[in-house]
Amino acid sequence: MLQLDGITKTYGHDVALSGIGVMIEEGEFFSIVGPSGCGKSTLLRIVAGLDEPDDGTVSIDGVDVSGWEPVERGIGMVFQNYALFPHLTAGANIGFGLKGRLPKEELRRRVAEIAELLELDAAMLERRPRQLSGGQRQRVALGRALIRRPRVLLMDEPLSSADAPLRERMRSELKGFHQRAGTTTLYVTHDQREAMSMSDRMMVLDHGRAQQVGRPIDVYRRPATAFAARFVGSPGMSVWPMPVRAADGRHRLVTVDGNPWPVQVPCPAGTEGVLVGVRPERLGLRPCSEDSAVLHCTVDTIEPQGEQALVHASYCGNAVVAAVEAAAAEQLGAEVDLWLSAGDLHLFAVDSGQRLADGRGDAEAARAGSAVGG
Amino acid sequence: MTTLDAPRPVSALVGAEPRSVPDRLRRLVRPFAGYLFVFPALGVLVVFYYVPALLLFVISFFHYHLGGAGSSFAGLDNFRVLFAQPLFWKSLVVTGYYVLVMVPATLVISLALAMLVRDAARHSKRKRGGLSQALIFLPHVTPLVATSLVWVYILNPQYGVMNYVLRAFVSNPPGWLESTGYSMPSIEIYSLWHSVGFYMVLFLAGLASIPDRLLEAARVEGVRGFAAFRRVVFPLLTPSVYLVTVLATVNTMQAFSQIYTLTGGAHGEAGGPAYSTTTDALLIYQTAFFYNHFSLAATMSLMLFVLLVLLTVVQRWGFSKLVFYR
Ligand SMILES: Nc1ncnc2c1ncn2[C@@H]1O[C@H](COP(=O)(O)OP(=O)(O)OP(=O)(O)O)[C@@H](O)[C@H]1O
Ligand SMILES: [Mg+2]
Repeated sequence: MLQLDGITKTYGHDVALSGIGVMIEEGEFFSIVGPSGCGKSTLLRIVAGLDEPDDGTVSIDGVDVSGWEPVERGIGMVFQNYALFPHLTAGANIGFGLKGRLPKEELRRRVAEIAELLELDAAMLERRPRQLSGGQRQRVALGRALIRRPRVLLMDEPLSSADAPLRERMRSELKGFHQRAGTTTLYVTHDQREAMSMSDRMMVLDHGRAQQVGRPIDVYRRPATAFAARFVGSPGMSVWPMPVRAADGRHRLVTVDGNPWPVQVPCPAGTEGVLVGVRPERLGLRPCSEDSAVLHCTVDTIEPQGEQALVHASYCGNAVVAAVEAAAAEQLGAEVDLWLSAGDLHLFAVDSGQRLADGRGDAEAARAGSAVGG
Repeated sequence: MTTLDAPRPVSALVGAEPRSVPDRLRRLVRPFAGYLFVFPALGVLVVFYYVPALLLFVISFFHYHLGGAGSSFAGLDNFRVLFAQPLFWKSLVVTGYYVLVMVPATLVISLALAMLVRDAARHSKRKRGGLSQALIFLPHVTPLVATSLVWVYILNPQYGVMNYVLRAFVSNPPGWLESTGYSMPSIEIYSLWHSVGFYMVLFLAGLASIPDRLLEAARVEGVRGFAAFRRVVFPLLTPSVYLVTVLATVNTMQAFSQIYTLTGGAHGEAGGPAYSTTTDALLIYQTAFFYNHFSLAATMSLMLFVLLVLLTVVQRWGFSKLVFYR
């Protein structure tokens, strides 16, 4: 439906985007997620037609739309901070693009229709943006983007200016709206929780490179790069380098005591180390399987979160986070032994950060995993 | 015998240390410190601005002679004399003509220049329109009298550059400052040349306060170019339009130096030919310093002041309907 091919954009010497390619299906809710400055807005603006890429094409319904104006592309856009026209009422904002192109009555009907869809009542349509609450403004911005019945709806961090409770509510409102309307949606956010909870699929972006494209649950379970591993999850994985040694003709991870650990590392000969990633929930205070290994850590801080507490610790100078029961966390001293099971390890190449098939029988999953090279 | 102590102030209970002399001085001065700071500026303003203005108001009800000796109360005599003067009415018409051309022309030209400079800046490599902006602003920092004299040469019908160029297109170019029909336009051309850069900067500031996002939002809705200007930029620019309108009105109604110089004030001919450029300001000057009729000049100044206030009030009212989103 919406296809991006090798999109590249540079500003001077800064590479804002590099070879982004993805195919977005009809009706899909697709998120682009990444830290600030990774190129999310740039990508969205290129899809919208507000910026042209240096290289690569945007196609909608199989037609290359390079050089087309946003309206010609049939996109609707919700801007970061909404960009509502302060001198116009909410109703006039919604009808802005159709004013003068439809008969007055018809326009009024369309605005009313959209307002109903977004649960904006008639009194609100008479107000100016500054007289509206954040949530109402967001709905007006959405209305303005939707009234032309766009083929693709683009949203740039629409929730970033809302406070936490409102964000939560609007998140579910947006999701509910998407389920009702079924408009193909490209959604930009820096908040991986938003992307996880709302998207059908998502793209993790870092420094203008696509790290991974896939269903949120797949990205969570099998991050394709060390960056995606760290970025996705609340909090994300702890990732740190560990030495590797050839043992029994195979590569084995080495724990701190120099003991080979029965984790097979599929890496080329001569490799000295590997990045190890583990989810905080998978680091425990006691061994849970035969092949568990122990990390002797020093405790930095403990962050109570109710039922659980996050233990921020250092392991050989690397930050490690473990989610443990709050009661147990209270007993901790300055040192802690964190146990992890070999089966919970994610392995990444030190140089490229790419995931390494971890030799535990999920080579098939690795093939199905939708890692996308930069 | 014990008397009940009167309740003591809290400060006394907390412990009143004896205060040092500078400390007490400071306490004494503090409430007036603000006034002390504004006093120099305020003093100058009062002596050279408010007092003369008040005197002017008083003088317009007196038969006044320079120095005050022999002055007598005149009631409304000055006003009667003034209103009977055809030249007074003519000067109002001339001023009106000047203002009515200058204000709209200033608005249109300076706004157009601001838009051009901004677009140029946007498309230039370094995203700045510094040079073009400076070049357009430059005339405004030149002295009125000096550049007016230069323009007298430029506009000279026989050997001026203006007509030298025009002769390439028309057979008999205008007589500019020497003809009654073109004398006012000549002044208007000069004044625009001199002031447009200043107003352009005001508009540039106004434009800079309109977020690019809004124009992009309009573009996404298929509204670009002039439609975007009309529906987004202009409405958001109305505060600047108001400011420029008021400033341009006040400045043109009081314009003096360039009119005086351009029309030959140096040889006592200011306001000509045939009074075609005798504005209020010029007439006031001539009445006072040429004919030594100070009370009449004061009366005219008062009328000009009243007119300005009225105009500003009307403009305020007009714009209060326009600048609606504030
Ligand atoms: N007009 C521009 N000129 C120069 N550099 C730019 C321009 N626009 C963006 N960039 C650069 O491109 C990179 C990506 O910017 P972009 O706005 O896409 O980031 P983002 O992911 O949207 O960040 P945020 O989450 O903070 O909005 C940044 O390094 C930014 O500095
Ligand atoms: Mg952004």
